[in-house]
Amino acid sequence: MERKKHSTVSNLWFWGKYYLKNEPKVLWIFAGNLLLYPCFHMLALYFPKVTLGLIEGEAAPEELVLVLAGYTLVHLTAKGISQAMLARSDMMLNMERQNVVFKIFLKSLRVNYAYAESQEGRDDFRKGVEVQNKGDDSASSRFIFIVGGLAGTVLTFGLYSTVLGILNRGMVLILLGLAGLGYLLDLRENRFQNSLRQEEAVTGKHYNYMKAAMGDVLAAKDIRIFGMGQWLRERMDGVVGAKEKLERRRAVWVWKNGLLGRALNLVRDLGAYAYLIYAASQGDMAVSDFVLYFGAITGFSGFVREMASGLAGLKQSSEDTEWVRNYLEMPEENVSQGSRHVSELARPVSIEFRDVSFSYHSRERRTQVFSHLNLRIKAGEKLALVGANGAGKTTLVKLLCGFYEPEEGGIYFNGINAAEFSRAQRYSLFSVVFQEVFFPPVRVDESIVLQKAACVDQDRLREALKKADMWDAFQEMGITLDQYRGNLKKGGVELSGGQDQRLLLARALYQDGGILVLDEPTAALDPIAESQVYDAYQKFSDGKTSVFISHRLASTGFSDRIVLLDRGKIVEMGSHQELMEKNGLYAEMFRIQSSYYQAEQEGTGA
Amino acid sequence: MRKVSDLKEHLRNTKTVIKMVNQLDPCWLPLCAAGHLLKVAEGYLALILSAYILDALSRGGGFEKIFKVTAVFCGVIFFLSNVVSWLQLRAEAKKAALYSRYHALTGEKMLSMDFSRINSPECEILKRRIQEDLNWSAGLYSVFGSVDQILRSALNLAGAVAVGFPVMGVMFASELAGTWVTLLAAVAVSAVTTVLATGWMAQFNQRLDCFINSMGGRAPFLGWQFATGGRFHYQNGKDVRIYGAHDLMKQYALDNGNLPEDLAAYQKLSGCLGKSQFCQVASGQILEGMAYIVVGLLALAGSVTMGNVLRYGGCIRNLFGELDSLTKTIPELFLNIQKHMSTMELLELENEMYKGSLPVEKRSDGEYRIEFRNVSFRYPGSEQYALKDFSLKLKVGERLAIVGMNGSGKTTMIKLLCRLYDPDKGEILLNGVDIRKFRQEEYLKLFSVVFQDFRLFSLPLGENVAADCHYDREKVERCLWEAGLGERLEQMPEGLDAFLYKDYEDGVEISGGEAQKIAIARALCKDAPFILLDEPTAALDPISEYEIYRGFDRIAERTTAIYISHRLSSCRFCEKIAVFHEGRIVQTGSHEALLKDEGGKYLELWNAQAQYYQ
Repeated sequence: MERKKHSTVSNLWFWGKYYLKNEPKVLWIFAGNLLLYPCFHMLALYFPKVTLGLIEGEAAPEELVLVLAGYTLVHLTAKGISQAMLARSDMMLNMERQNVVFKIFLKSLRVNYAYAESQEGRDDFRKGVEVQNKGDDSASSRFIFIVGGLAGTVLTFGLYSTVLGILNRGMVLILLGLAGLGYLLDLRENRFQNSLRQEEAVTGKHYNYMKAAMGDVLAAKDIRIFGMGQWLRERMDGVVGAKEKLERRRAVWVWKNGLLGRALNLVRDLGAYAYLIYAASQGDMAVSDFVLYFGAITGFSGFVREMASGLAGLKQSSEDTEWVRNYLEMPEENVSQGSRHVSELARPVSIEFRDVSFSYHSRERRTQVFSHLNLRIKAGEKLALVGANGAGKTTLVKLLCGFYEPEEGGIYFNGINAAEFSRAQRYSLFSVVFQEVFFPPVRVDESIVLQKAACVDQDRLREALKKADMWDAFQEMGITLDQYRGNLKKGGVELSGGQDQRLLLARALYQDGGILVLDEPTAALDPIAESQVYDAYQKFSDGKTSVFISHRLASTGFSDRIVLLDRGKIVEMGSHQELMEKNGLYAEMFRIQSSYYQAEQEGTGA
Repeated sequence: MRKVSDLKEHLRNTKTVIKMVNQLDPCWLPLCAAGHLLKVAEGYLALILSAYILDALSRGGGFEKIFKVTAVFCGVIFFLSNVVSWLQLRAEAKKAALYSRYHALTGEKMLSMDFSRINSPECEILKRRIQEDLNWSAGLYSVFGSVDQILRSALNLAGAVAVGFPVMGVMFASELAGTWVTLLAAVAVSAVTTVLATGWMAQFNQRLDCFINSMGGRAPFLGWQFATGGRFHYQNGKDVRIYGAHDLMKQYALDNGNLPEDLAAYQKLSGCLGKSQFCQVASGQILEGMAYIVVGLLALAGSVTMGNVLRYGGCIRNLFGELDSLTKTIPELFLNIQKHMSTMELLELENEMYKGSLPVEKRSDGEYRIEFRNVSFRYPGSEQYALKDFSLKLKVGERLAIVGMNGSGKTTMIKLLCRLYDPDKGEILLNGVDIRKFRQEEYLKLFSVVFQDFRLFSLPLGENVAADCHYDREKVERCLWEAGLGERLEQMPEGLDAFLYKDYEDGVEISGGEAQKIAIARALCKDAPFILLDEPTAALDPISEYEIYRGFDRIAERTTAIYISHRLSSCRFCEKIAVFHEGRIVQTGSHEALLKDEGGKYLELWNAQAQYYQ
């Protein structure tokens, strides 16, 4: 996928639109806060001056109490409202930051599957979740904080400059100069911090991996048997050590860089004191004004620094935002597909691979899998796909289902190009049992048909479960369909591997797709369960076009035709009988695999 | 999160966590305290300086003298600021390392916990509680934050008393009733707002608690579990697409986390937080206003100079302000600490399994005998026996194949043999001695197991095979060749140092079959007298499967090998086959003998498979 680059302003607009649509209150709060922020800063600046002014002017005690009390009341109202609003928006931002993560996840289910599955797609996804999983530093929250803060700071800075400008314009320029130098130091620090980020990301990745590895429940057996504790601990120590070193380096560098900044502060303070003390000792300045101006001078550079770090933060947030934005704005796989309906197709469906070429692309290389592959599967035919690991069986199935697009040529259903169907329609043409068993921890019925409970056709599900021999099993075990699966809740339903396989069959039955695809579904089953599952599928596949993938050749017995793939090419094709007679690669594989069984045949036959 | 109202318990909890932090890095707390102490000193020096300047100016002092003193003060402050910065940066750096160490503890605990414990429901629940506790805070950083604030407040408070105490004498000496009235009134009002703030905050936390719980209670919400990979693998995306599960996924990953009633509750609770914030700000501002009114009144009465208005005003404000903030930060610390009690609970879980201290005799002849004697076992929380009244003898050099249906107890037997679990009844003996009596690490050295669901780590290939950072390269290479991965190894430019997969470094991708071969090499490399293979070839194609079995036939000569397999063909070369059924051995014997037992389980299993090859 090509990655788009957006400007900071464009990314700001992206979040603006996002919040406008999903949580507009956040924006109003920040706008309101923009007015309050300079307000209470100015109040804070003038407070000592007002107090000392009243004393200097020898005001009446009642006046002093009233003025200061009134002042305090206004101040606390402005600051209090501002803080209360920020606290509320903080909560909203936190909610939204999580929702963005979930939206990224949901998006990963709608993008092109080939991309979602690729290393690049998985990295992009992980990165998008990562930048949203940093609390208040997450892309979606930080952007708003920084922009709001920056705007408030700029306004306040303007007001401070005005106050000082009234006293002495030249001083404002000198202060700006000093602040400029400080800004350069900050920039230098930012550059340094950025240069560490890469290293930081690597140690962070290592740390998270080691942490997960040590806590991996599924690895616990191996860890104990092979005494891997020491190994993993040593690795973890190495990672934490690297982290520690990095932080120490950072501390030393930042301190050294700050040395100059602190010296600049010294110069500024000495200069300001000299100027103000001189003016006051000459009687040109009231003591209360001395306090005001000194406060303004020291505050002034603080705002400049804040602006500098705000700008740097903005850049970082914008970079983080790119990950989120590029993922969320990626086109869905439905786009650019036809609009035909699969109900137009007469069943059973015939399949044709016509001149199909396909290769995998990774960042560094391209691996051709198929080059001008041709294959016809007749309507209602049972096809077995066999071959060694890496022969291209799974790739072929992914092309067939529409997870991958052929680079050249096309796939035809009943002579109609697959590209003419919308993607969702095309998917619904299939009932597929994948190698990876997927039962999310949701209601039992939902986990089987993968639809919301309200959309489940209970009668159809009952039929499917009966056919898959699971209805009675559920009754016996006292499992109802509205229970939850998995161990998330107490009393969650947990089933054996064989039972899960039968539920996968029920899922396929429920979908009732015109084409049945089995991607090595029985690897983990015992011989009797395996045999039962084969029988069940065989029954189910009657009247359907079906494609079976298997490492083991056992499943080929009840196929009409066997296709043997080797490095992306169809090397042999025909019925079991024909291929055995041909005495080629298939026959060799069959013999190796069944050698023990064959030997038995001979043994008992003699 | 549980409710803890008892102050004693809070203090105890805090002590536990702080002790743990100190154990991980004894330097952090002292560094942090020193930094804050000097920072406070720096602040008060600046305050004293401004007081001095103002007084000197009002007295009409000359520029030169005032500036000289100012310069000295500024120099000292500059020096202090450099020391403070150094201390703070060092403390910050330590925080990062501390955080990493601390949050790795739970993973480390998993390494040494009894296996039966790891999989137990109580451990699952505890882990989920930890996740929930840490999800709404910044982990240990929340504790750091609270400790920082409390240290700063306490030291600032002490500074205010030290620098500002003369004002007390002034107040007692002056006859102004207004100062006392103002002080008491302001403290009273501020106390009320603080109480309100705390009340709102408590309500907020309570509601947040309810909110988090109700999100799990009303409708399960799986957003994080899906998005961070706990309950979803990218490959599951195929099922989602084929079966159109998008709506279902959206419901559990997004909608259930945004139910209208939950959002209304969320609104309410963030309202509580807002009100609490307002009250907090109010109490701080009231105290500040009060401080200057009191000192101002004293100044008008001539009891306090202009400069001391700033000095005492600052001190009174700090004194009450920090008292006020301590009333908030201390409960906050307790709350943050409480979120770590689930972690502490996990770390303190004691292992229950008895572990003996007998050394395992090293026998050069490898003469080890294993016996299962009337062993019965149920998995924790299960009512069904996985093994029942199970007996079996194993002699060295033997090759035993175990066959049987899923759930017949094959894998359970291996788990008991390796002491991942202990039998409920009966005993397992090594050379006639109960295996519980042996030193665990030594006992485990006897076994190499390739489990069906074995795991490799994204660390270097060689380390994966040796299960160690330091290893004998020649031996590891030999084992890889024996396992059939030699040719692939030669293709890897980095050889044994190549990282596997892309999770750790940008390493090499390996297929399922290659992974299995690496797992087998690992088992060989351990040189254990017993090798157990729990269906190691399920993901392999026929030719690789054949190669591995043939290889093992040769390798296993040196050792005792136990094979578990669904493929009966692979068991034929074993002299002894044990057929498991419903937690017992129902048949034993050679392949030929077993086939003759008509109506036996073995024949049934055999026929189920052999039919396809006829």
